[in-house]
Amino acid sequence: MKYRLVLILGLVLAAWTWAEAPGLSPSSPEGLRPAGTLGETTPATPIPGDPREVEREVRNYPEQPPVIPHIIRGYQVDKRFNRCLDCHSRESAPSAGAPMVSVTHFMDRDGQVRAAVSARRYFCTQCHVPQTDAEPMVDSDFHSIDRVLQEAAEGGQP
Amino acid sequence: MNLTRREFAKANAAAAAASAAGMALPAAAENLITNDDLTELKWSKAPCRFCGTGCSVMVATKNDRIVATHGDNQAEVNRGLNCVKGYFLSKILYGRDRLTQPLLRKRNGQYDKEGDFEPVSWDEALDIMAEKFTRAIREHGPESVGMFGSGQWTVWEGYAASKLMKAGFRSNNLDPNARHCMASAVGGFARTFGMDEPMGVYDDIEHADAFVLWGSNMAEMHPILWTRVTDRRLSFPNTRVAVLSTYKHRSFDLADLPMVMTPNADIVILNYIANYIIQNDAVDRNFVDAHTHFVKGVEDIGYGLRPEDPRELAAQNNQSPNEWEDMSFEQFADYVRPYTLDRAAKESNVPKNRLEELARLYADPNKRVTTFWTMGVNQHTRGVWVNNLIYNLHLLTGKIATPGNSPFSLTGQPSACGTAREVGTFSHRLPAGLVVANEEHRAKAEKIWKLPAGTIPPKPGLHAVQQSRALKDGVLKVYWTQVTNNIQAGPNTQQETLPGWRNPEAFVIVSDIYPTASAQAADLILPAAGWVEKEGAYGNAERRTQFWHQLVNPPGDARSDLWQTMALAQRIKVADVWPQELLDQAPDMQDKTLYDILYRNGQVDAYPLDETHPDYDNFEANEFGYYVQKGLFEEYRQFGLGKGKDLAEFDRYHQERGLRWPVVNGQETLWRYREGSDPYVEAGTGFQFYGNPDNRARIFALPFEPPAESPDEQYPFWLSTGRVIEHWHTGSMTQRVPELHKAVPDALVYMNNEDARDQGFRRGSEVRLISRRGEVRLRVETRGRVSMPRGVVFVPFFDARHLINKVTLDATDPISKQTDFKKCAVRLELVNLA
Amino acid sequence: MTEHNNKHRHNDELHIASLIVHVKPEHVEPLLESMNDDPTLEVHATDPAGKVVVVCEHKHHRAILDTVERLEHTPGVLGCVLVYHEVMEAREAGQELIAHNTTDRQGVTA
Repeated sequence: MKYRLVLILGLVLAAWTWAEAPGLSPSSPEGLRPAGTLGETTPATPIPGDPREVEREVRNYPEQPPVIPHIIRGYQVDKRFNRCLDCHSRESAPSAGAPMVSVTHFMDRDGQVRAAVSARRYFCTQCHVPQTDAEPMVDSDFHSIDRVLQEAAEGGQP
Repeated sequence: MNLTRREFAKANAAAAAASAAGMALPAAAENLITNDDLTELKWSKAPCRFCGTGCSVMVATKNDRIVATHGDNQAEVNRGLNCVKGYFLSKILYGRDRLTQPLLRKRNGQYDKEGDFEPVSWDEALDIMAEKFTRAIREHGPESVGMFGSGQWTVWEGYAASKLMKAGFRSNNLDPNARHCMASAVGGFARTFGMDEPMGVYDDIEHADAFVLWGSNMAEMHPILWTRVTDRRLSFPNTRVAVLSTYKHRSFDLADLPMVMTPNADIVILNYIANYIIQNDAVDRNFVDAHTHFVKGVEDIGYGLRPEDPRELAAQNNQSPNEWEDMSFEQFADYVRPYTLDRAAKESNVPKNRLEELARLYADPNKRVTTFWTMGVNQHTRGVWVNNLIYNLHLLTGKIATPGNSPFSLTGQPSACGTAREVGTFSHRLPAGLVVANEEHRAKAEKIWKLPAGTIPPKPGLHAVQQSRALKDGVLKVYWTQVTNNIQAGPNTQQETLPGWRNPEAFVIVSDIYPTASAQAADLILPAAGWVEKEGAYGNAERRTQFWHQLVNPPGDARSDLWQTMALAQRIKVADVWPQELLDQAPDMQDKTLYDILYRNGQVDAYPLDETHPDYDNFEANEFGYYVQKGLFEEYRQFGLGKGKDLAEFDRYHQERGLRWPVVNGQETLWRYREGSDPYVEAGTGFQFYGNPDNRARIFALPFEPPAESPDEQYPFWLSTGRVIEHWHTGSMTQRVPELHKAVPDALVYMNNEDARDQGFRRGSEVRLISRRGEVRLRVETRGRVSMPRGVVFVPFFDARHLINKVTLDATDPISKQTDFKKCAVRLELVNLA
Repeated sequence: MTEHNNKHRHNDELHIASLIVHVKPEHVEPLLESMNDDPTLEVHATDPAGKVVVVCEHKHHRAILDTVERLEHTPGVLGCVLVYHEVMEAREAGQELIAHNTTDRQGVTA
């Protein structure tokens, strides 16, 4: 008797979840979330790797801040010390073999050029970010200036 | 064309400098640089699409595409800088999966809730919307339809939607996602000052001697303001930075006074500091006597849960949480006396010497203190109280409305202030601080809108969390969301939001530029125009209103939210949605459409097409045949004139890098409420907090109360959700920028290393994070951008693959109705060690 | 410092930058004359009220800072603001833009 009750309850529950599930995971366009999975618990892919060294990224326009082509884990960047400037400062860059920070970084808020990196540019990761080896989830249709100019020259653009 | 890289770079360089100098290169117009011979790039200004800071950017377009963006040198807010997201703005509109045509769920050629999406024409999409809205209103009344909008709406999109919902459909079920974001800040302003939005401005940063970050990670969430704080701190070494949070984050890198507190201990600390100020005779008695008065708020106000929840049944004052009574200074001093240093240190776990040092910053009459806060304060079941208690400290010491002395509530969305708050797209509000419950306010709105008395319903509508519940309960039948992603951002997805949206009784429409989690849950998807694909206006956190032109066309059949709202109104007859009594008052409206009475009212359509800028497209103006954005703005502007919320005339904003309201006699206002700075303050008074009838600000006595849910044996960890610098909100734009995605591809669960070890996890382990409501699977991170104390885990909400809001609790502040996303109880279970 | 990318040397770079020079109105003409003799500088716009837009081209970023410093010490100059800075590989500088499919300008700007 007890068994039967449990069995019935189990069946009712199973039927309920079976009926519920498609309702909460309706068909849909593919998005950043896979289509038709809203009600489901999706597995978590492993944390992407940090490439030791990556090719310098192609930039699409000159104003784009360069990404960081190396690992920065454990770097101390606080009000006492800035590990990034240890290599990228005006003084250290040549001997460290690292690119010097752009000269724009010597300008203060009032546009005056200072001898050292402006305090407003002090925290590097506000603009420069490292890259993992994750693949883009969605392709980008952004076109660089070069490509847009070329398309214009060829007359093959909207 | 013979153009070398060198020449191209030089042309760009010259153009950028000329723009920054406010000079014209040959043949250039204002805000626009052309050098046709060489580059043919057109540079125009626009505010950033992301947070509430309101940086201005220069946008380069060529052949109807955005090709570059950079920080606007002429903008006071950011002076040429952007954060990493801002620098990549040029890419946010170019994800390959842009929505370009309406999609409707169908089966056998008919709409079907369980059907699959099929492309439909705009005509078919708008027809079915008109039918669904009309039928719901006829059969179930105006309270059966609702709309969820956004602090990312442009000013006129929010205004047009507000008119359609509150006057056209006569439903106050309109709320913005800003409800999740700064409703508690609004509640704090309303209770203390009687008027919304900060008295200070960002210029306070360059004047302050001390900064206190109270539940705010500005380094990641408001990076450009943080550059200004950093600049101040490092350039003036005597400046002090105090950072208080429930875990250690990047803002701690600049902190002189770092404090990690136990979740929910903030009220104890705030009352201790007030007590310290009184005990150490640091009260500015002249200021307090002349400009403040003391009140005691009601206590035991509940948690905004469903009414049958035992926590609501047990609460004394959850039906009337927003009340108070007068008290004296002496009574206030007695009230805060039990909040001693010992108690504050014990309950917050912050060392005594640090708490005392923090109290001294406020108490020291020679230190100008600016306090910044965001979601750590606002997303809190006592968020309004914490806002009130922060103001207490500034009022007791008279450190307010003068340069550098500034309690400053930051916002998370680009137009949380400009649209959600100022236009009043909340379920209880009307434009310029008016509220639906007030008969005079409704009458004023009806007069400006040229509509019959009684058009606007008096009862406040459903707020964000109630909307989800009403969908689930079958009360809301038709629901439209624009520029927001509530399936991902709203709380308790698995138990409330998702079942609500998928309720067979509900018809849900989502307007967006990408197939977000919300679009995936919808019944009808409308492709929207984003950012500079339309003419727009945003209002930032320092009351600065900023405009931009349409710079490129949206792809395919995508259309702006403004067009969508007005196009729907064209298809709905007034007679089909208004009751006979109201129609009897306005017989001339009998045969008109909602579009006719709301937008073709002689005001919105008052400005001809030739007033639009000849160098820029304007899709909506061309479609409707008049300068619709100008008409909407000029009508809206009438609400605030002479009320301390004055905006400048429309055309001026296209020339300026924004202006801070009130704009009186053409002049913007920096510090409000202070004589000499705010034109509304009468001579000889010094200060006037004129939002309150007695011109005084209120100092509130409010107690510590426990949170809605705390860790226990079954669910031993606190969960806090939030953001990272690389992604904005639900990641729908930033995760489609390759560089930003590669920087932070996944949401992880950040936890304490020893906690992880005790649980048998290591970095990279896959775990199930489970609450009483739902679960997600995530990878464990024990190092990196944040450092968690024991017992607290952090998960960002940008990642659509891992909907952390399936786990969160839909408890709200009972006054502001804002969800507490910072505190619920969870447990963690290992899936695989990795 | 093995983590750092050593492949890029600085001797094959071309730096292009733009400056706004604020100058007393009566010194605008002498300033323009003094810059005439310098092949690394080009004047792109002049406001007689006291603003000059200058574009400079150098092989090394240090030379830009030197230029800023030198201009700031020119009589009548009130200040010199750096606005734009772009770096490209020198061998690419003369290439026609339209002919390229890829971009690898190492630009950086304000």
